[in-house]
Amino acid sequence: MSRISDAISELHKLDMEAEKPGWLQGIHPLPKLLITLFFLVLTVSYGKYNLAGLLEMGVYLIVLFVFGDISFKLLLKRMKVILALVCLMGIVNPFFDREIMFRLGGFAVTGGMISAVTLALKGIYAVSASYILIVTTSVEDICYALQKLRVPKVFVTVLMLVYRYIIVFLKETERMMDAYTLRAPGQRGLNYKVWGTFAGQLLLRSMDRAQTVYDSMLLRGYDGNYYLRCKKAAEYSDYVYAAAWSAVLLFLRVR
Amino acid sequence: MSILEIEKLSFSYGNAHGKFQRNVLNDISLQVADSESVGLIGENGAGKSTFLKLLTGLLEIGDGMIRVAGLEMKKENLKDIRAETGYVFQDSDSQLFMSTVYEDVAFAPRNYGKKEEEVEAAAMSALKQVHMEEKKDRQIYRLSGGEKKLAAIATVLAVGAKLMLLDEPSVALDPKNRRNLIRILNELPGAKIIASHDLDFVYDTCERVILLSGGQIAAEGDAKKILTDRELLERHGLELPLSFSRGQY
Amino acid sequence: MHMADALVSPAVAGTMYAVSAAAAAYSVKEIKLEDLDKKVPAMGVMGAFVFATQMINFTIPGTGSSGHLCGGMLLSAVLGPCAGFLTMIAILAIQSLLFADGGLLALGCNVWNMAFYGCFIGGFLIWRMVTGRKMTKGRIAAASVIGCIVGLQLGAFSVTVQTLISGITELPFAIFFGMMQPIHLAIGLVEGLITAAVLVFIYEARPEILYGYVKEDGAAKGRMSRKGTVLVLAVFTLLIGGVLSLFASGYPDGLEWSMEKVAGTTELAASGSVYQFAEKLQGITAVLPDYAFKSTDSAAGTSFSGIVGGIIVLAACFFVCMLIKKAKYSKEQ
Repeated sequence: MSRISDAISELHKLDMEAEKPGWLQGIHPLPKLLITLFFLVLTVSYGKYNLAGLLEMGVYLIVLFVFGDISFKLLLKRMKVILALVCLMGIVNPFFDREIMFRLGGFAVTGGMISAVTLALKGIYAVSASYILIVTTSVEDICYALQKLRVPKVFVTVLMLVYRYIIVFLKETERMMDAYTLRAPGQRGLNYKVWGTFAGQLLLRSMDRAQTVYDSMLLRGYDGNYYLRCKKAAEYSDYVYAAAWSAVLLFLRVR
Repeated sequence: MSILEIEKLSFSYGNAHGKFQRNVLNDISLQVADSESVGLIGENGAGKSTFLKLLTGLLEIGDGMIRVAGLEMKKENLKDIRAETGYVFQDSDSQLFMSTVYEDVAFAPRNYGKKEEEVEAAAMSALKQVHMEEKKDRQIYRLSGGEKKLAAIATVLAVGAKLMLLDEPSVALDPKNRRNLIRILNELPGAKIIASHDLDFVYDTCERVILLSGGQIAAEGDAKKILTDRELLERHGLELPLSFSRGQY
Repeated sequence: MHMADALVSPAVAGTMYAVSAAAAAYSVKEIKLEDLDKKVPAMGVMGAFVFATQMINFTIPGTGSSGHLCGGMLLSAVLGPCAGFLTMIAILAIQSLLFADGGLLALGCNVWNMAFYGCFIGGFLIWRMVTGRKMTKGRIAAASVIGCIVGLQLGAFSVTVQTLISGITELPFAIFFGMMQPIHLAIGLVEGLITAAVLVFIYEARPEILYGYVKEDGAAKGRMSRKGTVLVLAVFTLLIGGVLSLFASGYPDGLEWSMEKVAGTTELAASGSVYQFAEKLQGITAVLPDYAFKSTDSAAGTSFSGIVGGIIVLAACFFVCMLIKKAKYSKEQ
């Protein structure tokens, strides 16, 4: 199951990266999350032919990639499937929108071509911005930011728990899949005869584990509340980060 | 003084109508002194886990009485009793549900309403006792099995538990981690009840041993005396610890 | 079916965030009435379970391909629709954050298209309709298959509608629709069968785990109040009705609006009232300043020089950043 082991190693890598020391890692998660969302909103708000304006938004990504010491190559490697998909989203546009926008030598550039490139670029920008967020911010910190945004505690708790147990279950699933494949050579997936038992067994075990987790929480004074703490308090520089980027991004967009 | 007093404790699984009732524990009386280590042994299904769960109130007692640190096991006392006992589960992954070691160790003190400085002091002192202070910010899933076990022990130490209950603590530990765990358990000051199949482990960590069989205490006494009594152990489905049985396979 | 950020306009993203958030708020309120503290760890653990098992390839007999498990349906059947819905949101959020599977901005859309339909329509309405009176193996299997198919059809339809309202693709509605629905019919059938296999296994092994299972007579009783049911139904009807009428009015000539007509035009087919509606939505939500930028966004504003200008800005930015960084680095040395 290369897919599962890939996911496990990805999670490990992301965690390690979010823990690395660096100024971007040190920014409070709340402004980082909000600025990322702001960037995304502005990015997708560009009209389908406004390639020129959209290109300039890349300033945000370049600055963060360069000064945040984030490897662009690694992004390409990790997100290759997703990036390929977003690049293809507008692939049909040139066939439907043939209005000529301008001529480049003898070559007529149509609206469809421009909009296809714009769409692909939007996709690349969005994936890059989310990627920058997650390699510099741990999931707990994002949960903390969500809590600050008044997202209900139940949800934040569930998010934390899902994240905590993903690796445990991925490993368990991988082991079971390995055990299955070793005894069922030549099969690429799970035979329909064992669909129910395989996943069902795993589900029953998960329910038992849920009970133990609940017991463990109860024994440590759990009463329906879950406490999260941010590793750092908001500082002056965090406000500067938020204010500066809001101003720059807004300037690029409305100019 | 005794941290734990049990009188005529009985328990059975089954539904309210009395159908399919299965007696798991029968008429158990026991006392555990303040800083005593007691090993709980017995074959599979002898009632070890059930017994530990009763001591924390996770299961409701049938008949008899349990008193922990002077508090009788009742619904009203549950929160206080749980502050005095620490249960270390067999599966550390289920016990450690927070994402990092520190957050997990700090979970209980926070739930008991301590201030953040007190939480930190309690968590750090607990981590120090199991020699895990350097790994406090580590993600749980990146710990080894042995480290997870130590972190799990730290989570119950952080509450200031005076009575620690450990369910199969040595399972799936390699020899080095196992030795390390034995050393750390022997350093801890409070009372401990260690339920285990691993009789060598029990011999290395406990001075007294209770042998459960068929829901009853079949034997009780000095660890060495019981763990070397081949005839007694074999009668209850157990075998001599390896360290006493060399060359006798 | 995960939508990327680039596929949605701010107005659509904002609206869907609001709608999904409303459904989530309702769910939070509803599960608070149940045994919440006990449910939370179960939600967390089951969420991770679904996350992991969705990576298992279930081989479809007779074909070379494989299918996956339907998370929403399964979670609802075990945790109940509200808890299942919240858990699905957590899964989608983590997929989006860690694997860029679905955009952060499009999360509202994805929650609606996958979690809402899967949990409330498939996992609640259909589950309850089919297994309501008596829970049997056959009924559980039927509910799973129908629930998955209906949920996925609705989800696929929503993707089409959201993409078109966002004005993203030049693909005409008919083609887009004609591609999405049949594909998802097949996917829904497979997912339904896999989910059915798992739930039937659970029913045989430990039926008390299933939500709404009552031991005495095997009859299921949804713990959701009747008021809740009516409310969900009402919201659902309104939405479907609204969207359908929107399209009906967008294409007044019904079926005559069709491939040939579309093929001849160079303009995007989904125009007219769909766009007006989007604009109106924007006016109502007023969160996103989309149309404030209209002057620069019009087709007339597009020119070669403009694009070259944009590229130059980016290149300049990159070199300046590198220079500053190099200077700083050498100073530190």
